[in-house]
Amino acid sequence: MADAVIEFEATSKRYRNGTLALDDVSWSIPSGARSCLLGPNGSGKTTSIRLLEGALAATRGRVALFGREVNAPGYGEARRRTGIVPQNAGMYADLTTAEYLELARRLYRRGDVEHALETFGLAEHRNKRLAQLSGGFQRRVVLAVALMSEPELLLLDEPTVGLDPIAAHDVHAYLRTAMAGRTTLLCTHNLAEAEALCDDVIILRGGRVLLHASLESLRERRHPRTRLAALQPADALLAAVRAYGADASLLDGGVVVEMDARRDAPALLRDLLTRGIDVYECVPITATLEDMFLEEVGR
Amino acid sequence: MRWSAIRPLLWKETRQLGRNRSALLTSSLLPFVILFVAPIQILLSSRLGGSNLNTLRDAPLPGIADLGDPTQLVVQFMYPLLLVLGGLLLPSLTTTYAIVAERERRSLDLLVSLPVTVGEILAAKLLSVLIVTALVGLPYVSVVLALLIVLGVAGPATVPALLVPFLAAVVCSTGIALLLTLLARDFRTANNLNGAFFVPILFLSIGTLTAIGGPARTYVLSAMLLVLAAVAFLVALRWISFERYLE
Repeated sequence: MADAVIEFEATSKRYRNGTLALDDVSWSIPSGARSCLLGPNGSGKTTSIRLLEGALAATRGRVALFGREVNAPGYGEARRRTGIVPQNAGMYADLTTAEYLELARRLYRRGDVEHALETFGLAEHRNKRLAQLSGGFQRRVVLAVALMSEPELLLLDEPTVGLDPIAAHDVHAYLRTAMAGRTTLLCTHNLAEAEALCDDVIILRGGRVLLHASLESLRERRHPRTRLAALQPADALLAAVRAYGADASLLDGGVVVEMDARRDAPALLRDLLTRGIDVYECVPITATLEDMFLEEVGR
Repeated sequence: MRWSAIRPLLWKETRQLGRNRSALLTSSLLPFVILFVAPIQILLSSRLGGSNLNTLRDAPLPGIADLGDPTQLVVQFMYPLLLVLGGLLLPSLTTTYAIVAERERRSLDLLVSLPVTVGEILAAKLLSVLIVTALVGLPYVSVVLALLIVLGVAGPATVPALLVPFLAAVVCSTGIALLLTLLARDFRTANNLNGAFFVPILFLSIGTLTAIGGPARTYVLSAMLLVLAAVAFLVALRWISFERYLE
């Protein structure tokens, strides 16, 4: 693909212990995309990130960043255009915040340590050892390092794992700003996070690509559903809906009807009222990424 | 490997090693005794005539049969052995600390997320160990060599004859420490493995010094140590692979 920022082409990765982490996978993401790499544990997500980092070598196939094959000539420059937030990395007890940022600045050959310290609220922690910082501040440091060089591509490996809700909210706020206008690959278990931050998903399972699609197209593929609630017991509502001829089921004290609310609900509601059912709620159900993920992975 | 990437990593490594005074102290205390105290004590004993080196001369081993003079025995046999011993001890603990500590505290992920390769990370670590070793060990060795010359015990040719095996031992120890560190999963295992390798190398050194006669003996010993180092580096980088470091 001509403008692909990340490319996996017939890539396999077998570890020395025989584990096949990636099995002939091919996928790519274009410039400007905000993609999410999803999958159960052991599906090959972290292996994919490590192949892109150049930390691991593919057993077969091709992995490329900005068109440059990993560890081939030109890859070093491609890496300097990429900011990476590693998954829950250990922190140095003998290196300060400012020193770690300075190390990153020297390696990326650009960036402003002082500006990064200010932007991420780390100025007062500049001389603290990294291991002395709280989990939230440690994640801010990692984000500051990944973004200091103004990279065109962001690779985020579980950026909020292990954080309390306040710190996670804090990181999400930074990410929303950082991801604007940047190609991003977010690797996460947190489906709500993926849904909030990304436009398309790549689902891996057992080292293979199960699905690569936009969230919008996934939603369109799902049958529209509508949730109804009435003053009468849910069983009575369910019986009335079924008597109307719609496919329905009970859910959390209400009834879920397999239909498009905008197109079909008015007629159904009129019918229910004539049957003496007092409907007080009629809400179209938007499929969450969790629903879609479970459906795809569970197939 | 790019020097532009190794240089900043080297800056980080030397800064970290400098802050870990306990590791530095532990790794430099024994070499201080072996590279400084012991040679000076032997030199003084030999100069004051209080040494029992004649015992060694009276029952010569094949390689030291040509060392009739006790001073020559000191310069051509005992000093090389002490320098090799110090050279082997000095970098091993620092290497193990620099490499294993990174893996044990899981900070390796922080490093590989930066635009560097694992090879560059290891190269910077090994270079930093060599720098620290040079800073700690060379002053001791220099003082001892200077004393030998100033006191007229040995000529200028002794300087390379003693310095080369010391440096070869440092390189050998670094290579073996790298290999064992990649094999070991934790600091303790790495140290134990290091100790296990240390004794055979020491016996090999004694064997070489006693088997080879003449002034070439220290250079042959150096060549042997460098061959061991080359094998260790080759196995570590090819067979063990960097993947093992990340596991």
